[in-house]
Amino acid sequence: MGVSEGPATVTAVPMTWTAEQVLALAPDAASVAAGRKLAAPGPWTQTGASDSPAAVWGLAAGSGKNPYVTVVDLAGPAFSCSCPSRKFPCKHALGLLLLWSAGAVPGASEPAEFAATWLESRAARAEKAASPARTTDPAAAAQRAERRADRVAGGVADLRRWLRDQVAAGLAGADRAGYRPYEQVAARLVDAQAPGLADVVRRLPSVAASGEGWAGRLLDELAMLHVLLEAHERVDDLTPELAAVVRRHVGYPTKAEDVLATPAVRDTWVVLAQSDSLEGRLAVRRVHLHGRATARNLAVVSFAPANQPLDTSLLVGSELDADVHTYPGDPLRALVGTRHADPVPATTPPAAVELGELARVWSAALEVDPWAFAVPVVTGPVTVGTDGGRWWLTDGAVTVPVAAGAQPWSLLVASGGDPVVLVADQTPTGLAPRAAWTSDGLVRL
Amino acid sequence: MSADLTTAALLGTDRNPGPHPVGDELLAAALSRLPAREDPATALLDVAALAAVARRASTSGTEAGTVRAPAPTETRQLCAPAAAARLRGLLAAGKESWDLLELWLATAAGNGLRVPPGVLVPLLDAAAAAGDRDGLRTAALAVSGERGRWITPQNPAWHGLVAAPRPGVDAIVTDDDPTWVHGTADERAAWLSAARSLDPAGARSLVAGAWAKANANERATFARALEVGVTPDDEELLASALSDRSVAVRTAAVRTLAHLPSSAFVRHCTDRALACVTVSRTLLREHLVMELPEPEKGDPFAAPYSSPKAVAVTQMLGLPAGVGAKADLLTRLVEVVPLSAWTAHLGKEPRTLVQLAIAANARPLLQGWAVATEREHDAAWAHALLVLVGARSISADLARILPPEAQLDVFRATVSAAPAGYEGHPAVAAYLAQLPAPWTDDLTAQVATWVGGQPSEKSWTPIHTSEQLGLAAPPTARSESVIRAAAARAAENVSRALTRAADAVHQRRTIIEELT
Repeated sequence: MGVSEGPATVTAVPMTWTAEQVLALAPDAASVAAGRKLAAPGPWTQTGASDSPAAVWGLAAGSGKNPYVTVVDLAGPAFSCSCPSRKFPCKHALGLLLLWSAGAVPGASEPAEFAATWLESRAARAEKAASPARTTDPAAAAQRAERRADRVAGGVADLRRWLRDQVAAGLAGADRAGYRPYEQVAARLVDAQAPGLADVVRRLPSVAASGEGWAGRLLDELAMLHVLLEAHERVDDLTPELAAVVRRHVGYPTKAEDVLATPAVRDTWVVLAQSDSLEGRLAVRRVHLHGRATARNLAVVSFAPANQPLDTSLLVGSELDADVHTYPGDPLRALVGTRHADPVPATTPPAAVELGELARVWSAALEVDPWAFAVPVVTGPVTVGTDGGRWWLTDGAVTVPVAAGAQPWSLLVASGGDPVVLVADQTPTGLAPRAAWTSDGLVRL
Repeated sequence: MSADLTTAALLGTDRNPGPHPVGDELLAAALSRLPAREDPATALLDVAALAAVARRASTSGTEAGTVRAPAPTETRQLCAPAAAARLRGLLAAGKESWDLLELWLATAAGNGLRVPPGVLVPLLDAAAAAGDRDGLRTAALAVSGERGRWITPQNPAWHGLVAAPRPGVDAIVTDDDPTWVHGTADERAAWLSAARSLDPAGARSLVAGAWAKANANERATFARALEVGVTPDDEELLASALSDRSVAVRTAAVRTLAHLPSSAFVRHCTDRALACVTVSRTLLREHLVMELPEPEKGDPFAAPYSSPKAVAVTQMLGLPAGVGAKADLLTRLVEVVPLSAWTAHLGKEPRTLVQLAIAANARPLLQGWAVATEREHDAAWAHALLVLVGARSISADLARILPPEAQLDVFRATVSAAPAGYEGHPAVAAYLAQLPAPWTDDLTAQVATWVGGQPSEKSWTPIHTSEQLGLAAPPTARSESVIRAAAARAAENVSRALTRAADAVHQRRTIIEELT
């Protein structure tokens, strides 16, 4: 997991944002609505925007006597508002940005006094953080790595014992055991610096409680965990590629600079889809990139604590000439490095593989990462169909199921019953639709 | 996962150490290449792992079901991107934005526009959630275009959006129609109304034929249904219902007969009511004199005066027994009398008559006139009653009959008649709620000023009235600036509410502009 990673991309501050980019910052739909309401000149006074520092500020009339002081540092982006809202960014920051993106905030050569204080303190803090140049002492680093490896090994040994005991004692009753027994095991793994394994264990109780057929599914999960633990025992004998994959699933962190140090793939990358989800207390954003020349499909995954804005540097529907680097332990996950040009709207559909090809794509992905659960693909043209309960995708020759639990009504509406090019994630249970290229262009789902 | 292996895992290898067969040649071959395990649990996990990896790697196909023919080509024009973006915002805001959402949808529907397919799912979900808002639902279906009509039947959650078909009535009304024979009470009532507007005579003879066997509820339904397109030909049937055993049937028959001024019943009621009221002149002033009518055998009216509570009140007030009953009887009679009979009989305009009735404290007249005014949709009477008696004491529903130029007049009267402080606000709010939007500019300015002058205490009323203002003021720059000006002068709490109202007006104006 990449929580400890620094900023993935260093980009120039965009001169203006579109309303879509602003709204992508909103923590929830209610904030979008509240922000839109505040995107009228009515409540605002003393607004301004400057290029250096890149910031927008204003005073918002609120429920108190004094107006709220709202300041946005566009480079971060970072937000400051004197309102009591615990949403982040708050509706005032969103409203101010919308106003700004509509061109209704006057430019200024320097920030207003009320904004300058906070912006300066931010700048000072950033400087402080940057100044003690990280002196990497190779000896100390190696010692840290060794200590970590020892702790992980201890955690893995405990988990192997626990796993063996589960099967020896029998799984019967696990569907009624609740979360607690698993939570203790997961906590031990977090202590052992194996957060990846902790995540796997935390998923188990919901599998056990998944109703009819739970035992088979739980045994499946335990078996895949068994494979991971066995692989970790022999991690030094594996190919470097597979070893990296195993380490990632166990929870060794990957530093952004290590990713950016891998060879770059330069291409015109189309941003095809973006899907957000919550994993525990973390918001996860998965952005689908498709290379025009390489026809590669990659996922840019970013994390943020709940209620904090997720990365908005990749706008769905745009394409950009850029260097992309893949994770050593996760060759389908990417970071955007150097950008060679500003993004432009994508106007032509991406190259798609036939439905019949997907089995090969999937097995190739599993060869590299046997635990993979989502492989970005572009396929089509396909027709989506449903009988009200079951969903399928077909191109006449091949028919595949839609991923379990997905009810892609928006895909069905977007297609209107006509074949579309589908942007999706291949999962163990079927295709999870993310976007579609229809006669109207790209449609987000 | 194979059933045998799952069973073994459920049971535990402590009880059933195995070995566990793989059951697949390829997997067995793979297993033979793994090191042998002494621990049965680990051995079982090995077998399970091989099966799990193999199962994950095999993407399975599935059967395609029948696919609906693609949606027809759209005929309506697509709305502008900015308008679509605003619609998304309104949908995201949920319930609190339904008023504005309805405005958006109705405006788009009226301008012959449709929405992009990408917004259909949240739109249809919202329309399904706002099921009781017919205007919103119909407009949502209209703007969803061919694509909307194509998708709606496919999702069970959206089936309710397509209005339940009205009970079909053939050109010739017959008594063997399935709805009429087998329908529920509501379905029969709806069918009968439809039948009545199509074939009045046929529906009447149907009712007449079914009358004897019908229960009281059904007879009341019949009497009400005849109100649709009532003609003198219906009088005989309705007159016979006046002596029905059930008071509900009699009341329904009275209500329907009131639409027939030429009927014997209405003429008799008119004679009795007019006889009770005279205008006399003493010195320079005119007085209205009201006497109370005597009950007659066969009066069809309900008798609330016989309730123990009514009797107790009469006694408490020290009135002779039967006064309450007679006053009530007069109210019932006046309700039936055509309004024109009063102006003709007393030779006065509605406004003068209402003034005289108020001076004489003739409540039965005022109440009866209000009911007759609603029936006849008479603007002059509605204006007189609302201005002089007030929306709260009469019926706020009359506000719907008011001509636009009278809205402000009644508002002023309602405000000045309302008790001081917050007790008066509900009367104002009830009146404003009935006025059709948009209000006139004059009324908008007056309401903004009135709300702006309210003290800033914790009270919902100025806030509630501000909400009404935001939704009903004309969506123009002028009314927006009038409301903002009022907000600037108002106390803190109220000022915020007025600012929100101005923002709502702004948003309504933008919605309309973006859709034009």
